[in-house]
Amino acid sequence: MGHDTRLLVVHDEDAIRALLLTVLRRRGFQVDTAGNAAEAVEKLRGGGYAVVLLDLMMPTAGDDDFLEEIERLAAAERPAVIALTAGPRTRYLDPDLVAGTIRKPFDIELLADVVAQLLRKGGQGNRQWQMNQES
Amino acid sequence: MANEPRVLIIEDHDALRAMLFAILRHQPLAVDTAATLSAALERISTCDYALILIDMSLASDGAEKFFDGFRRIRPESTSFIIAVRDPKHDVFIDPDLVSAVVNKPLEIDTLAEVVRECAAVIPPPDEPLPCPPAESEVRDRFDRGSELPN
Repeated sequence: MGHDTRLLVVHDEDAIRALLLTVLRRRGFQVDTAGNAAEAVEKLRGGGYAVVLLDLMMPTAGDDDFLEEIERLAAAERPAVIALTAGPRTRYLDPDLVAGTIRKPFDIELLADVVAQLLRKGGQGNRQWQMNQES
Repeated sequence: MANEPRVLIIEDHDALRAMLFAILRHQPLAVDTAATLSAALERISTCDYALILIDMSLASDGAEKFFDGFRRIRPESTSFIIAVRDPKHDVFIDPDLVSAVVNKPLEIDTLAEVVRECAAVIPPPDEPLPCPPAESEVRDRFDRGSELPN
């Protein structure tokens, strides 16, 4: 049975995108993917995402562009962003924009559970998402 | 057969290894197995693998030693590595080598699809090693009655 909602996976590695797409689709989620920040911004502007999984290691600081785009959205319309990280590097992430981080290697069960929890919250509190579900 | 992504299963538990092999050989994949650390290192010395599935519970720190060997033997490898672990045991899994972790007991259909989809998008090396036929290929021939397996 599907969870009847949408999420966006933003990652520049084909195999990681394939991994996340496969696992999350099997859980019944509606998943879109983007291989770079420009593509992700374009999809985000289309609206309707409750959750975004965002690679923080994309080249050319694409993740910063994407987070700036999120910041332009009204708070009620922002998707919950989970940052995908690798290695020991830490950096400041605005808690108004990023709900949490998941470190590589990705525990696919944990990741799918986190997404499921966030989608339940998004379904209750994200006005944009609710509008899309009704249409 | 020759163009199918090649996958290596590293698992010292006989039943689990046989199960993983049985599942993955029915995917569009060329599948090899290794039951020991030395067999695994031999495999990666002679073949390029799109994806490697390794059990972190290999005897005698086998997984850790495999990763050391992998770094030494295939420093430029683009293999996508998935670790299988027992969630009751806390083990360090090197994020520089391993992309994803799946927990035991394995959700077989999800794992099969993940391996198939991920292996399919790994680009083959520019100069691939001249691998011998995959175990799955030899088994297929045997099943068709045209050849005995080694």
